[in-house]
Amino acid sequence: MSDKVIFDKLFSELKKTQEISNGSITMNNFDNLIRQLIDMLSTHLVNDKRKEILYQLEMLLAQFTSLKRETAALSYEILRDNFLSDVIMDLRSIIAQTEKSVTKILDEADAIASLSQKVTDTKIREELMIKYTNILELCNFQDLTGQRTQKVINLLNEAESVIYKMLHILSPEADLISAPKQDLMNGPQDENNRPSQDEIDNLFNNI
Amino acid sequence: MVDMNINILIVDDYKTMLRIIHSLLTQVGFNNVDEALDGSSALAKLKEKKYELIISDWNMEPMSGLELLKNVRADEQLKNIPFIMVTAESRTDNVIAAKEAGVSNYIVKPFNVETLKAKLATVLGPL
Repeated sequence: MSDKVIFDKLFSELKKTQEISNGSITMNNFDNLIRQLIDMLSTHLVNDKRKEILYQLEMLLAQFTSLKRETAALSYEILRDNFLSDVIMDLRSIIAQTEKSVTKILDEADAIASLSQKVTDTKIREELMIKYTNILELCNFQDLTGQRTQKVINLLNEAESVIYKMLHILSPEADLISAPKQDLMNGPQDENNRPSQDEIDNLFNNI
Repeated sequence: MVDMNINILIVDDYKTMLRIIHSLLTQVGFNNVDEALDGSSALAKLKEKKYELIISDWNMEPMSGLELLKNVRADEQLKNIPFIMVTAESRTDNVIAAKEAGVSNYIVKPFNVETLKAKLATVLGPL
């Protein structure tokens, strides 16, 4: 069989595979294609050049199969025993616990503010209200730590989604998780790199 | 001088943050403060009651503060309500996006009561 006949046959097999899979070649039918090519070439071995091509194709197929197997094994390892889901749950409970604690702090602060209204000494009353305001301001931290933790949760969800997608490609029966959507939501910046209110004001007023 | 009886709507998905901002506004002298936990419920409240100021977080789901702002500015009834963003989002593209969407002013977290008062005065007039 001439080279042209072989390549025409291969091309026709490729087109058939594409039509079956709606215009795309998936990972699963990629190795089938390589196998078909190898079978066709080995049936019609004529010269050393083809033997070389066959050898290279066998190597490619072996490496591809090994990559698929290792990636699937790694993915199962990461998803095994809900490891990622448990980590995400722990992080969520950190957010919930800090919120609970800050709520209690604010309850106590409100109680102090109420009591301070009964203080007859004006100076002391004003000092107490300043301290009360300071406590409110300091409790800002819970919002920021919550957002940072949420950022990590979102990244882990995305990572889990990618791993599931990979598994789905390698093994179509796996479930998919969709990644969270973005709307310029980057979360708090690092303490050392975050702009000050004055810098934000400058930027805002000059836009 | 600002009418301290105006209706203010604060929007944040963290209850503690809502409580902090509410308490600070009360300290400044504003007594009619309502709360919403996300953009969608904020929009619902805005349709039911007249507000003279909106203070909103950015980082919320399913509707972000930026989306809420765009919805407010696109609504004939709501478009002129002053809108202050109070957020941890501090990148240049955030500030530009908010300004282009029509935000009245921008506060980065963590913030203090003096900053809040200054921005309120900028948007509403002398307190």
